Amino acid sequence: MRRGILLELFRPFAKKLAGPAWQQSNMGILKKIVRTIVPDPQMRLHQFDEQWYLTRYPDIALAVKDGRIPSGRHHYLWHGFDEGRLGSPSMAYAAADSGEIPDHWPGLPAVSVGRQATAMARFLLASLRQRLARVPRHWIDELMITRSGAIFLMGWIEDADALESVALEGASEQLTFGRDQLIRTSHLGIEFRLGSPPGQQRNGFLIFSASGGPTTRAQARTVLMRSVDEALATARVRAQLVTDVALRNMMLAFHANRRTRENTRHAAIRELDAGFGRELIALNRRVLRDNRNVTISRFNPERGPINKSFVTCLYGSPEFLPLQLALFSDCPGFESIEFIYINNSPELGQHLEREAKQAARLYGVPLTLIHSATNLGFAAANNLAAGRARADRLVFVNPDVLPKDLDWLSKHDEFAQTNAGKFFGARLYYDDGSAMHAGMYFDSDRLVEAGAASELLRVEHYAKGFPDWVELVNRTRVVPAVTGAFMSIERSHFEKIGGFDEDYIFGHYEDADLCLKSAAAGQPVWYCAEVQLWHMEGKGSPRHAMHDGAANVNRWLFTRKWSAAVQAERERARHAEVQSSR
Amino acid sequence: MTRRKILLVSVYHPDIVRGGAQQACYELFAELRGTDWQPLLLASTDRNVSPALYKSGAVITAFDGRSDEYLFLSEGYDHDWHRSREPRCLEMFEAFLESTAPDVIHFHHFMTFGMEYLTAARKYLDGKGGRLIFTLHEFLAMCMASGQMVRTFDQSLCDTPSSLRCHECFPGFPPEHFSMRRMWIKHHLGRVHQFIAPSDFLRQRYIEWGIPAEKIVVIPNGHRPLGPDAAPTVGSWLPDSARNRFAYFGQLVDNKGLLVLFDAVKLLRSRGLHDFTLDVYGSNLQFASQRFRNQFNAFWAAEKSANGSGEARVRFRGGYRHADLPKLMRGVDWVIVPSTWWEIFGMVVSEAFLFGKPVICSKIGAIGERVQDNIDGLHFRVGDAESLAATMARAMTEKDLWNSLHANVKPPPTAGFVARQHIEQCYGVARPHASPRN
Repeated sequence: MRRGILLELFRPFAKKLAGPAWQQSNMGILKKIVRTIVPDPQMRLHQFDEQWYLTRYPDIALAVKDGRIPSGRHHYLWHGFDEGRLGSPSMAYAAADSGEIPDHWPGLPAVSVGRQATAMARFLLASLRQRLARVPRHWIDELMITRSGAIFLMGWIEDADALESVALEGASEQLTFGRDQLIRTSHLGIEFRLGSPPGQQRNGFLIFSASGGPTTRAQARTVLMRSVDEALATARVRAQLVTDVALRNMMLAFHANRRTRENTRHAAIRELDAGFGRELIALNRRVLRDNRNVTISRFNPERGPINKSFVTCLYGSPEFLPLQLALFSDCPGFESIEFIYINNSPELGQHLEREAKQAARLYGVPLTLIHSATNLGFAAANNLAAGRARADRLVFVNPDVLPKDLDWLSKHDEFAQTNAGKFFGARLYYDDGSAMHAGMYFDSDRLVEAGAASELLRVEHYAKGFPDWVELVNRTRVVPAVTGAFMSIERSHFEKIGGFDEDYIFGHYEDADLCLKSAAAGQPVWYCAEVQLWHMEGKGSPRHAMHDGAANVNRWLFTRKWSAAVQAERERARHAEVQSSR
Repeated sequence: MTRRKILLVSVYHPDIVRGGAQQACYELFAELRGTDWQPLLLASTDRNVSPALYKSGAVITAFDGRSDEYLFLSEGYDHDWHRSREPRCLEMFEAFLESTAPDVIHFHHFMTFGMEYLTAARKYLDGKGGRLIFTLHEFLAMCMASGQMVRTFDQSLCDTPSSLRCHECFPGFPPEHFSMRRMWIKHHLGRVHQFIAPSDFLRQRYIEWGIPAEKIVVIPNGHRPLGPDAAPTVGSWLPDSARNRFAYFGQLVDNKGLLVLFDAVKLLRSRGLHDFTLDVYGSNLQFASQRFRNQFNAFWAAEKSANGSGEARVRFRGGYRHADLPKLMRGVDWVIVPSTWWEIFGMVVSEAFLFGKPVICSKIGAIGERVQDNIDGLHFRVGDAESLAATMARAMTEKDLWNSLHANVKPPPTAGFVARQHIEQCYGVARPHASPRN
């Protein structure tokens, strides 16, 4: 198998070498060589299912049959993965987060040879019809709808950028998506198939809307592709009905895997700006709205008095609840804490219920366990849990944050009583003893493509991984932001600034957002070096492609929301520096 | 006067699963019966071992109608974190403590119960000023590789556990897992008032790992009384007899070093030394790795084929019981302990010394500490068949060596003596109501 990959590897390599494209894309080719020899786990080539892939994508099947592509595997390796295509049913599952995917996910169960032949015939007939009708070549890859009215449609057309609208016609309805709703993309596989120069045209198109989809369940649709003054092409397609949660997860995974020949990040940002980001947020908001119902278990509610409510969001790793409570119970002052855990992994509900019961018995602590119906993400879950808190002080703690200095609670309480203590973060350590967190600041990446440029903000940690004796780690001070892994905040202040912004999906950037909201409201955020804990960063929850997609969307959202303020602050700081140097 | 009660908590009942920890615990239990203390035994089992002993709805039952012996029916044990995921079991354990009201709780291992049981026991004892005692039996607290401190990928010995090194042994777990495992286990072990280590070697290892030195005392494991025919074997040999009869007693598993012994036998023969016997007594081959089993079986197949119908001088004798020892030891001059892991006590050394037999052992761990080279036994390099062969050759050829070593062999402490040590050093210490965090 490895020999086959190597043979495949050198064929396009030689082709590229001979052409001018080599000059521009040799780094890309080298990356692909590395990725082939040392397969990227994300590609999951070992899971690749040739038959499933060719059935799902008959255009590729035809290209293979014609001999223009050696195999579906070859296409997936060189193009399909970059286009966000899925390589196997299991990838489809993974992309959509197991447990939240409907049974009728397209392509499942494994396809038969007969079905494969049918799909191929369908594609051949369509191609023949297109030729006879002298219409632009085109194809619809996906049409997914949800009962609540979300829609995702993906396809391609050889239209020389003439496509003005796409209409979806059902038995009793017609929906039209205009140019402003069409996200045009380059589509490498189709360029390959059409023989057009790579990266020069955007033959692909996407429509994604959280609310503009069909309102009936009739699944067969006609897709009408129009230019300004004429119909370009029509296609008949069967919609897949999925849940909002599944569609959100798939769209996030799709976005995470979205790689095109264009500048990867720039293209992704362009798609988010073109409406993909807005619609994802809207869809996520609807998921949150529809899944706000929770089940609550309380243990030892009568214990007290308490002066702090620890709020912890659990996702995927139940063992942190007993571990965290055991280790916190070693700390003097433990009796003054109320613990609120909110579980974002419904499948672990029973397990966590037992853990909470046992821990509450052993440590005699007031403990509330909130079970959510789906993964609400960090922001919404923490807001929901904070709403159940009894104390005036909220401490948001990740499940993988554990006490290093046993006396940290008294130091925490002391700092909390100062003017600086309204909202602060702590010194966090990696388990190897180096600094994990000493406050955060903002930097940006400048993305340039074809003469256009845009900026994406990035959150950085001061002195991350450095020894703990460096000044940045040792000094208590005002910082632009602190990590959401540990945040101590007056409850009234948290409520005043509106809590975490639930536009952020799953996790990332909502913590920095909260800090900027606080600063904008006149309360700067402090880093308290005296309060010291461990943080086993990244070990507290599993990570899938959809989480990477959400992190991209959140970064984009954070940039669009705070870029001007961050820039203004930079200017102010620069001005102050110049003034002080004079 | 009411006798004070002590609850002995044992990993497995030794009549269900044999093993050093449960054996030591049971012998202590038996000896304490004759003292001012009233011992209760709570020994565990699990569904994989004895499903028929599980009774619907019960967590703790009597054991075979015996007085003061109880069986803990372990459920939902998590071997990664060493904890029970079944809160009902913990509740029943706590209720058992309240009902039986022991003054001292002495754990022999945490496995099959879970780390939280130590915290639950301490919580109960704090209410009545009692003491929580824990006997360390191997390195499971600091080593996920079955507590052997032998590296999983090359079977080399490990003497410095760390998150990174543990991750190297278990690449599927990130280093942080081992940091957290260490925090978790230390948290619960922190509830213990007093630790007991059967050897200074083990004590030192746990001190290096982080248990305060003043919390660990060394009390060796004792031996059970044997029948009256045990003593004569010691002096039944003439001073100038050939001392060429070797024996191995122990488990037939990888880390006991039996394959090193087999290689040494081959080396001796290859150098023309055939005039010796070796008897191998042992069981539990089913717990050995497939590789070990293959090599073990291949060795005996080759022996059988080489001997044909002649008398075998290297013999596999099968399993043995403690009570068989007097008879078996009569035919032995030297007991070989070729372990390739850190033996933390070496019960077989006690058995050999009980019968005045000098021991040839790997210079490692507690056996290297208990057997003094050229005084009451001989050392050879760990895992080195050449070194073992040379030592065996010396043992069977050097005039008066056996006699001089034999003369220095001191009998191990009896179980009765050891029980008194427990009472004096651990159980009987007056302890006022203490802060829960001490």
